[in-house]
Amino acid sequence: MSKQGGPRMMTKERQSNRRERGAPFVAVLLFLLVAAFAGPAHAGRSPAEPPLLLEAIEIEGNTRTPVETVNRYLPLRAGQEVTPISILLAVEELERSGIFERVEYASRPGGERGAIVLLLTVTEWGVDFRFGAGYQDLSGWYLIPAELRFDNRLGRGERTRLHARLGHRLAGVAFLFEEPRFGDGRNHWGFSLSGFGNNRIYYVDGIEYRHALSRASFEAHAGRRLTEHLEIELGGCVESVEVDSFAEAYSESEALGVDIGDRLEVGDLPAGVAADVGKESRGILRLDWTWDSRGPRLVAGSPASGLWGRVRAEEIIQGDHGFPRVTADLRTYGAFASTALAARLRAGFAGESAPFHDRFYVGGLYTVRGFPSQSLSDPSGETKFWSASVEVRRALIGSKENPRLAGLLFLEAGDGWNDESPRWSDIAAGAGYGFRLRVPWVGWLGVDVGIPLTDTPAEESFHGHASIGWTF
Amino acid sequence: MPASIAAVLLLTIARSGIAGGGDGDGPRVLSVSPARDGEYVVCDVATDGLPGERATRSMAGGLPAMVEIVLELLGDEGRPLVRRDVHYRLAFDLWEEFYRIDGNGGEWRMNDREGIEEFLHRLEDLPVAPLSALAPSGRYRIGVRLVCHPIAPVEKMRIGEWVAGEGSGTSRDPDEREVSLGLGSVIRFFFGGARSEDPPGGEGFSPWFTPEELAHASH
Repeated sequence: MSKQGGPRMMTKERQSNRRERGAPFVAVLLFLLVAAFAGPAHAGRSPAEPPLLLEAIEIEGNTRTPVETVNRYLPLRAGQEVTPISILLAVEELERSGIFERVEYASRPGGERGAIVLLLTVTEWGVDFRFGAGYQDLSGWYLIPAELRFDNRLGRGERTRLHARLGHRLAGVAFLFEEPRFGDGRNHWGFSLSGFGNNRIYYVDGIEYRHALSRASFEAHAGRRLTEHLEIELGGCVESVEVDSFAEAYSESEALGVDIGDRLEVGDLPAGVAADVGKESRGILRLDWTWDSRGPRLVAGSPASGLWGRVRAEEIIQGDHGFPRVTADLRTYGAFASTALAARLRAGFAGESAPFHDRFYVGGLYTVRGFPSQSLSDPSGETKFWSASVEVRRALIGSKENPRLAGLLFLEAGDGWNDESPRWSDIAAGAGYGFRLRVPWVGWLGVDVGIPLTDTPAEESFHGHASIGWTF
Repeated sequence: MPASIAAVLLLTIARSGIAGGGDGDGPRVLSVSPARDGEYVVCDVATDGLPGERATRSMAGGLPAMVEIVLELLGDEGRPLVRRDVHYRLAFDLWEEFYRIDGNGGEWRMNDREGIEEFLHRLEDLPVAPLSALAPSGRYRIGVRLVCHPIAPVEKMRIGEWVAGEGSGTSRDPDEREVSLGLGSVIRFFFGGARSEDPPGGEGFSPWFTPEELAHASH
């Protein structure tokens, strides 16, 4: 199945001519990435407190949660040495696990000198009704108008959620179940059932088109933490995907005589998209390796040391053929005084027969921020891509560890391609700045302004993005 | 009819929220007595209710507590001119079994809880402002706010350094982020039942005084 040819926003040749200035920025980015990944891990200082003996742990309020479940999330055991800091950290970890609505703690002297008894009072969840918002790189912003959570109803620390998503380019419902720790506490499993319709965007001759596709899927996964830092997960999914036979214009062009809402019928669709029109049932097998050695210490709201990385390998079986898809995402963190340095490398490969909705798109908040989302790729996506980002983060208001407001500077680059060999001159680069505000209850919200350092197909001097959380 | 049901519902929620909020009486400031100590304005603060039950429990269990005192020199119209913060860290040594107080440039050891209460009942020579900050003809008073934190904020800040927040999105899909709010917590927040992180505090004021009227500190 060919993904080449057909109308495109900008041909590779044109992109090549317009991006010749990309190489110097990539060299700078390369240097910063090497510095970030090779930099010394900042271990942080150990809290020095005189050790006490934890004589016993008493738990109250757990009507349906057995002690074994609590023990999977509380890293303390009777008989071990503790300090005030280690107690607070452990209780914090239990609280952050979310298996209880509230965790209160107190302590009292034990039976002998230097011994204490930890008293935990927990409040179990009722049915929790929530609402919120989200962002997906390929589907944009959406609202969560209703979410029902039935967390830890079985006393196994499980999460059970039913929620709806409603956005400009996304609508649907999902039911999710997950047991983050079971057995010896190192295993997890879960499943989800979902049905979503979304509009994928692509550009043809500079016109933005939206192409509807709907997806109904059942997914299940199970995994195990093999070592302190390494986890593997095996997943499977069966789904039905239906791609509409037309796309609708979402911008207009007097020169081309295109108005908003005009249809691009199947014969006029980009070849790589037209080939995927129709309904397909398929199965997906997935294997993830995840490495997480990030330290707990924060600087500017960001981990101060360590690595996080995930390699995902999938085999997608669709009709009488299958194709592989592999993605890698590697992030590293460091800190120097009150400044945090974070870097990210991403890369992906998909088989040539991958439909456009399984391919990669470059441009936007999670790849190269100086450009609109997906604007740097063919309408039918790319089978290979990479992107790299370096961010310097610093507290602006509040504590240097976990400030109310943090600022960041970033430099990033990326490229996607299909059959042809990648070229230096095709690399898109961007730089910019951003802010992250820590909002009570919600967490980090932010805005980023990216300035394209290479020519942009959007013909704009900068591009703004609003974000939930950090980009990485 | 639906409107009245809604009103009753809202009132019920509000009332239940208020009913759930209390956390004891908290500490009180009984008196604030300004004085002069060399070239400095100082004050003695008489208090009641310190360190309180929760802080005592926390100390007995090996976790340090803290008394935070905010001293403000107030001008003629009640405008704050100078502000000072004084902290006393209260801890119990579970090995040697004595109480220790650190703060305001000193360290004290007490054998029992009564010793701590007695110390905190009258806090002496708390620095407020240099005498030079006062105009000879001006009228002033000193405002005092005090809070007892069952777990010393310093310890909590140290925890903040160590506990990784939701810093980086490492969800199942690296290109997806979500936030959500519980309807219950929003309702509790707006109708007053939300649990405040701030422990109860007390405040008090000295009588009005002029620099001339300041007696020399007797300590």
